[in-house]
Amino acid sequence: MISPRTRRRLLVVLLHGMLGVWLIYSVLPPVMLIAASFNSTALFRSPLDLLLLRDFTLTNFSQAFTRGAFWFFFQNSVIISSAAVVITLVVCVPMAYGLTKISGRAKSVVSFGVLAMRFIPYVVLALPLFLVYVNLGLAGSRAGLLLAHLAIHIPFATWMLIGYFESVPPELEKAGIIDGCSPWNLFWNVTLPVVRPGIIALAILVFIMSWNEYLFALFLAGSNAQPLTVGITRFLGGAEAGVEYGIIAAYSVLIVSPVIVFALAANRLIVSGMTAGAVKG
Amino acid sequence: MTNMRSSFTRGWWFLAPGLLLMTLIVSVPLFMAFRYSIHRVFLYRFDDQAFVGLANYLRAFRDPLYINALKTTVLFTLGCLVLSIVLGLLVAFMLSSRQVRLRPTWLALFLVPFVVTPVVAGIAWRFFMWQQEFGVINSILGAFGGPSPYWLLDRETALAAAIVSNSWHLTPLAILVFYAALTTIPDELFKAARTDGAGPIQLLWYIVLPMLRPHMLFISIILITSAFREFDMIWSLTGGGPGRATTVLSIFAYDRGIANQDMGMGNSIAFSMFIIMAVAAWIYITVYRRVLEHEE
Amino acid sequence: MNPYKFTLVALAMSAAIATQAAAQDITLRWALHPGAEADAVVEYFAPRYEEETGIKVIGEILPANQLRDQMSIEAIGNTNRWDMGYHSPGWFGTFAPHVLDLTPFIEKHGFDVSAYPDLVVNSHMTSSAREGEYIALPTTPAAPMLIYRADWFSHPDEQAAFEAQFGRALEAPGTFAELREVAEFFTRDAGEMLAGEELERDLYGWTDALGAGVGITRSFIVVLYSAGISGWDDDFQPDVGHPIVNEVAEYFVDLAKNTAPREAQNWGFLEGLEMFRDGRLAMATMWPQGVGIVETEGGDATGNVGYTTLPLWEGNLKGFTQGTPFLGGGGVFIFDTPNADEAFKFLKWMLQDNEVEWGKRSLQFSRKAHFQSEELRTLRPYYTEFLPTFEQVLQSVFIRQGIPEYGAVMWGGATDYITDVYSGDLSPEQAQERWVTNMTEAFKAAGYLE
Repeated sequence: MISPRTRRRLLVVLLHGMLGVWLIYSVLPPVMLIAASFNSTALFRSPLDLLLLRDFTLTNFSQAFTRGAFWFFFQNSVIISSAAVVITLVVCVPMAYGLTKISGRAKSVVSFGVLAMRFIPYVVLALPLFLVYVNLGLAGSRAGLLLAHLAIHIPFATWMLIGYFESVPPELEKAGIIDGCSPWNLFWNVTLPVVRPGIIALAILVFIMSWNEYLFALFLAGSNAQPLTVGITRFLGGAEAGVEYGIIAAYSVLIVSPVIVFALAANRLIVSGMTAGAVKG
Repeated sequence: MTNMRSSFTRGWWFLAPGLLLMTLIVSVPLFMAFRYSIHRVFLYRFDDQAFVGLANYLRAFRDPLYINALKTTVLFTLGCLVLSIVLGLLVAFMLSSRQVRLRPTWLALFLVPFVVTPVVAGIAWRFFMWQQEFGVINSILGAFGGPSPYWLLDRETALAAAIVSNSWHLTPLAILVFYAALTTIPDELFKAARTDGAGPIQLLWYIVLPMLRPHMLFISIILITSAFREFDMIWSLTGGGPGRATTVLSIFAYDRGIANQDMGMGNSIAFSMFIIMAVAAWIYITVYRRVLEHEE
Repeated sequence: MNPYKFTLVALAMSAAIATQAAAQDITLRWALHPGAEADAVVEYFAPRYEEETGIKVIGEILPANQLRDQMSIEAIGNTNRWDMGYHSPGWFGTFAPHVLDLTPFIEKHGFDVSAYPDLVVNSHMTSSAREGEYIALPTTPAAPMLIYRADWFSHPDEQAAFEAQFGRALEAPGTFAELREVAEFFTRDAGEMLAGEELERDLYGWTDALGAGVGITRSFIVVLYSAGISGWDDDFQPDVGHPIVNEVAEYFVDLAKNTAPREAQNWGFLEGLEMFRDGRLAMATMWPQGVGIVETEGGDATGNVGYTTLPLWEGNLKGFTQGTPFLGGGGVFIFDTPNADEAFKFLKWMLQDNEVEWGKRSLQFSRKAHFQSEELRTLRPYYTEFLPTFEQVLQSVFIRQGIPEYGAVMWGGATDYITDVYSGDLSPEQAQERWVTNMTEAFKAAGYLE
């Protein structure tokens, strides 16, 4: 006979075990990339051999840096992602705030519009933008690629921010109005500090979205604007398979490590920010 | 009265610049997509464009490849939806148990797949998970004496493999939403149910699921929009192959527009995606409002 | 920030980026197809040229399956990303408005056109779309040949077994029908015997690249041209509706499914030759760029590679006497950037002033001097066999039409056709009808028909 206590303990162990399995599943693909990036013959090894670093080498990384022109792509990724974050926040924070302040039909129409734009498939923007940019002379420029990113970020960010602003207790603003705050002061000094954590979380999310973006870059990035996600594809058609997979893995690790580090470091913020945006209904 | 007006105008001052910019950068390409879709636009004769009415759409709808891509897209979207929700719910339910230690840490690590660059995720799955000879999946199967299929090269399995890979990327979102919702369910409810003798499965089915209905609806639409437009992951995983087994509409639009240089057709495919999504959005918003009203 | 201001800032940003690029020292950018010739440019010729002249040459190697799409995007986008681009005769259309007529440069810098065989000049330097112009310089004109494991073919066990099964001697196949028999004969599972030894891994009879898009298209179209199909006749009447097209497709699908490794579906161009090198293939269709791979030092196949022309398609429409692939491989365009003159000077230096060095490093042979050069013929042991075979391959090749629609109607059409027949998504008849319809419509739209 198993006592209820042992049964509960068993259940706890089982629970942790299952979560452990899920954890392995979650991190295995990136872990395999890391392992492969440190082995010289990435694909002609069993996964265990790769994980145990039987063929340890660092040349994949030096190859990725030199042959892959890593810094060039890195620079573009950083510039475009950072600019996207700054512009998105500058545009969307006031916009979402304004939306919570207008009333009636206009509000529901605008919110509906913002929500509806989130449904647009990216390829519907990318194909015509490619031709529009040709006519505008924006093809292959960072500015053009940035504009395309903003078309995705602005509806997304506004939508998240509305949730944050709506969670601010109205008493706070009422108190401000009684104290004689100007509309700007009210926004800047009273409301904004309350939603700051949400805004930081949003900034990180927008950065990650821009950093990870590939479809627009494939269509719109010319000589000056190619980000890392395009940079890596130059190795995908390589002829010397056995050698190249190690470099591809190294390049992949270089691309994803900033976002993973970012995401883990700011984890609490992201989780609370995303849940605030998500669960509000 | 003045107060009301000032509050009204105040809102619009904050709102207007962003609204204008958003309308501009979203509606211009959208309008142009429609414009190109009703014109003959070949990349190799870019200056020679002519109005052709709905001919591109007719050509697309009559093309068996379009129907095939539509079918693949629907299967892919539904597959990702079901898999992500079921797994996300299970993991979130387990994680929300009071007995689990270090819950924030678990959650943090579970989020990793979501932030991994989709192109890179596709590469990782293609070369190191699904790979036939040395991939993780076949190595595990092999250890149990199982077969070692060519997952991504076989028409029967490629789409399923793509669904699994993409769900890997999307499930963290579902976990996050469900977990956040589950932590708001008061402990007393569980305790009461347990004293009534309910096991974990009954708890999940009779208590948790009904309470999660709005969240389920919410995450569904996020997953549907994301999977419906997916390009990056499939592109680096299979490139749409073998044959056209994983050619979803996004990839088909690229294939016609860029690879085949037929921008009229490419844009008409893309615009038809927009219309499908617009209808989905309309249905969703209507249903969502109704459910919320019902809850309240 | 309001949208108008923002647009202005965005425009100013892009303008600043553009002027910044122009203010730098001369840098020549070249979009390259992967291969030994690209490696030769990046690793040898570019650094040497920079040493000599101070002009920097950046060779950007793009994946074979993205090269054409990317070049189209950049050309139509007027991005000036590249000063030089990979020229495949069938792809000319999209870039045509940006491709310079090289005639003035050829005269000015004294480039010797007669150094190339006429077929190469026809195919790689001129185009019916731009009569009277030289639009590109050939760098890697190439057509595929058949390679086989001479040591296994001559092994007594294999000879006896083959003779017992087919009633004829085992030798390099002369027709496509024979190719299929030989390929099936050599397709074996691990554990079976081969040339007196037990196989550790599966062995395949034949392969070519079968990857989605470029890979399978190139492999299939080679057989299709060998059957005597041209795409269309002088009056732009499509001939891809001919029943022989479906015959070729059914043959090709059968061959690919039964004798080629599954991995071939991942290959875009030369990847499969590594499997040949490692002793896992009995035959392969090989573009000359791959000879360095199959003869890699220490490889299982090294020194045992037999070279021959592609087999004959019996009953082909044009009375060919050997397999007749298209003349592929490529050359180099010069785009309408401010660096055009410098780009031509560099190319002339590399291709003409260093012609033997170019042949040696790029492993590409197209100039008459290459076939006559004693130095090259004796450079590597296998050249004595490989070079004459390649010279013979070039005797019978299809010269692709230079119309702008080629890429869409012939290459793209073949891609759709063989992709759908291979996968079984469409029946050969359905796919063929689609191809003919699309081609006819494109010709009508272009005004060639009606």
